[in-house]
Amino acid sequence: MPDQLIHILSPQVANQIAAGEVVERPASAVKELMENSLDSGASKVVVRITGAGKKSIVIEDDGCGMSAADAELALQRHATSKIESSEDLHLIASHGFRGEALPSIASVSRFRMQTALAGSSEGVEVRVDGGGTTEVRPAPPRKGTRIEVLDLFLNTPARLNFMRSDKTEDAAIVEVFRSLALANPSVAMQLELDGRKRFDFSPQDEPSRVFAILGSDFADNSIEMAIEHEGMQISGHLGLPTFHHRDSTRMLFMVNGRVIRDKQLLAAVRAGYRDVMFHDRYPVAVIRIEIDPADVDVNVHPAKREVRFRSPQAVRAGVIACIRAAIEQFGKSVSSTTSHQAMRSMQYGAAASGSASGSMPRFSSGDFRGSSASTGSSAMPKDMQRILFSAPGVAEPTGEYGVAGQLHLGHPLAQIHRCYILAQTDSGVILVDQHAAHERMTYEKLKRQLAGQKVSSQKLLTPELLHLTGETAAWLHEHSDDLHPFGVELEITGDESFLIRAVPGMLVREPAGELVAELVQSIMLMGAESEADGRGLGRILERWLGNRACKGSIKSGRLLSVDEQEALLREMEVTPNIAQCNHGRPTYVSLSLNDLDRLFGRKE
Amino acid sequence: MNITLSRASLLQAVQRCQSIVEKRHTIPILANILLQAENDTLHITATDLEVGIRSQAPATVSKEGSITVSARKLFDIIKELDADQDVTLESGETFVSIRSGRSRFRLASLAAGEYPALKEEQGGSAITLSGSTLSDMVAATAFAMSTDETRKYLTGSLFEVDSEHMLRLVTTDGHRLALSEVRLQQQTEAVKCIVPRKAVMEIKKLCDECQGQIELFLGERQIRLVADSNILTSKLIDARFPVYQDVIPVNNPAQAIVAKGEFDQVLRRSMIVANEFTHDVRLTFKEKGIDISAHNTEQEEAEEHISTDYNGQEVAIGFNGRYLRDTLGAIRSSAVRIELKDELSPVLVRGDDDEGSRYVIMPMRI
Ligand SMILES: Nc1ncnc2c1ncn2[C@@H]1O[C@H](COP(=O)(O)OP(=O)(O)OP(=O)(O)O)[C@@H](O)[C@H]1O
Ligand SMILES: [Mg+2]
Repeated sequence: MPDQLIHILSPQVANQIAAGEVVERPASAVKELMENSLDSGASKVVVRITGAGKKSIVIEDDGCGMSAADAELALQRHATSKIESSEDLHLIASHGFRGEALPSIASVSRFRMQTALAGSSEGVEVRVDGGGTTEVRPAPPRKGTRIEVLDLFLNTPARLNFMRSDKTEDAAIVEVFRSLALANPSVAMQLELDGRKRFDFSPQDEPSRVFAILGSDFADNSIEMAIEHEGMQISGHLGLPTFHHRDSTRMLFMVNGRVIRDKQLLAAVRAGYRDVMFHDRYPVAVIRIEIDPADVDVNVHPAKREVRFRSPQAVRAGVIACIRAAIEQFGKSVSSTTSHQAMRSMQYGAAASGSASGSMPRFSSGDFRGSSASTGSSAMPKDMQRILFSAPGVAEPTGEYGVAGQLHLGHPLAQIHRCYILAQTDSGVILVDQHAAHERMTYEKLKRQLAGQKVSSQKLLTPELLHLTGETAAWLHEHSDDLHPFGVELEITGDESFLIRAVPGMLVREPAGELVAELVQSIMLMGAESEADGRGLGRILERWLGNRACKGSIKSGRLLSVDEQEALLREMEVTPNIAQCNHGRPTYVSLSLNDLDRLFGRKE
Repeated sequence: MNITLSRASLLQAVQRCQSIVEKRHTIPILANILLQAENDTLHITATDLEVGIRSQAPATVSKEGSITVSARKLFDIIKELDADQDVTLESGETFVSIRSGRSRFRLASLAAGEYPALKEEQGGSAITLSGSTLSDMVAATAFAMSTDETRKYLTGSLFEVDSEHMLRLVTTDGHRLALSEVRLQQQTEAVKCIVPRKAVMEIKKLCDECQGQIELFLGERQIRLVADSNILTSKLIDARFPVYQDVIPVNNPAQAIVAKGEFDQVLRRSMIVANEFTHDVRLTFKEKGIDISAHNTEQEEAEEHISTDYNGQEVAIGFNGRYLRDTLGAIRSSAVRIELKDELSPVLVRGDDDEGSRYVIMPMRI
């Protein structure tokens, strides 16, 4: 048949091609197999890895198992028990649905599976070598399924060559394991790497599992928040602004129990934290989104790491709403890491003096790693620290002046090292960080100036070039008018290039390019309406003003007269959100007489 | 080193130099100035590695030599010394002694060998003009330099000589522009460079002091000013200045002429109640004159009127009031001419009898 060039590929080749997408690296095989175990209703999943998964991956579960016939069928392509019709595709609740994982894995490894249908008195063993024939033989009955994947990629040397170091591959496996453990707290899970136990989780409630994975520091420095947003349930454990991380790896998302990565959601979380966090730090957060399965498409990524939402905007807005709700709460609690640090330096005068002498005392540079707090052993019990240095116990009104009438910061006794003001109140003493406090006051003042005003716009003499790429540029092509209310005028000059023709009148001294790029990012994420919130102004403008507030504030190191100190305290009392500066650091801490008595051991 | 000289000439030379010295430099020796005595002259040098200045004063040199000493302290001491007594400076091993009348001081010193040398670039275009002219040109333009460090090229002043032998200084911060030009008496090749703010301000000071002609050398990487016996060198900002020619409107159809003093006073008053962040004022140009109004978030407001001739359509234009006042402050004529087209196009402002300077201000949408 010389004129017929096209032919159907053999199943073996087809499976190997599918494997190329589904099993990229050992960690992907681990992910597929663990997901199958979880889909089978297992209450315990044990994973054993040797040689970074290239030598062997063994997974055992106590789930529903399979009959001999199903076990054989499971290794055929497009064989699945999880969906039937294409309608089901829109309502997927299980991890698997494609019926591709097992045949793909079996086509690039030596594959062994022992299983038995729950309650049955006979079991079955299935073997496949490199995608060849499927051997099925009877085996003793067992509870659940055990799968062994040996010599992964044995017949695809190219793929093997692409593997990174064993350490990197192990790390990827650990990441997969942790994500699935996080998403399935009620299932007991174990991971062994080369005979060494890495994780051993018993069945837990959700918060315990989260903290088992993210560390007890996170437990002390996060709060829980749950909201409903346009039919979605959004809940999370959200780290305090003072508990941040150097990169984005500690922001985890679950959509209907499936752990996913989503750039836009990452950006949304950062945007949510923006007002209270340094711009080069990342929040720590675990966020769960429960959404109607019909509103999310899970069939978009070969390894199912990504999903597509029917209304991404609504999801992002929900996430941001959840974070902002949490931030309102943050106002009332200061990171225990901060107080921990404070306590440590206060407690052991002798031990701490080495580092404290000479330089000015720094309360919190905002740069504490979560871990640093837990390493030092403090003689003071945690609850004690919290009592001493916890948030000022005053409800912070959000918005209105005057409501904070209850706040009494007393009268100044002294200025300490030109950085802090020590004041005496009826019930104890208060330490104020003069710079942080003044910064918040300036910011709130600026915000008030903005409220309800139409934003004026300064024309530029020579337009400034703005270069944006990809999605952002495409978005801007359709939405450049959305920037008008913020005083920004843009002209489109190319696919990825724009000219800035006008900037907000109150920010003429800020770098225009940076300002507009950030504004675009922010509006794109949240929509112009939600950015130009109730007060008719953009948070983004506020944030830039916040920067200005920081620059225009009284610096640490400035000597303040008693009158100035007194005035500062009085103004703090009537400033909204005064408990924290714009970077989420506390502006003051209080110590009651009771606390002092306890500190000196006069009282229990 | 051992020298004696009059307090007045020493003070003047030290003062000139100490303003270059950065107060808080990380390299300790840069807080010092270099003193070199030879041939009946004391040479004084200061630098922050970007800008350098070399000045001199006549002295009786009994022992030649050189040393460096804190600029700040030396200046503060000499300032306070008896004006009529001569001052003697003598260097020891690690200190310098200062004597005047019955006063004796000892200041710590650092070896002269450590002091960074001022390098003078060879070549470049040489220009000669009167010091007062250059000083006026800087005064007319310096205010519009930007402070935005992310756009370095706006943080200085353009010095340009074109093919018609016009020397031109141009500054802009992206919202307004100032230009001042003068025709040179000599033939020079075309050249342009951006001079950093600090050097621009120092150039003005040296020109103010100088009675006669000054010399400017515009090189590839350096600008050098020779004024009397003082030499200033500065690195240039290595960037391209925006193409400014196109933004200067040439045919704005409508114009109004106002008395500068009155206009400035009206603006000053109105701005008391203008928005304290945007400083926006509204100018409504109409047949009988200009209405000026401002208001702030507290609903406080101001309304003013200046009567003058205006030949165009009625138009209301928003401005940052500060930009207007800065411009008025730089104009020397007693009347200013405002040329405009509509509420969003660039507006040209100039002294009524002054062809040398031009100012462009961009309106604000308010
Ligand atoms: N550990 C297990 N316990 C019980 N049944 C299993 C197990 N692993 C696989 N199966 C069965 O084998 C079938 C095929 O599994 P496979 O992973 O290939 O496809 P899938 O999970 O349906 O879809 P996907 O390719 O999306 O993972 C599953 O539908 C399931 O019925
Ligand atoms: Mg599967």
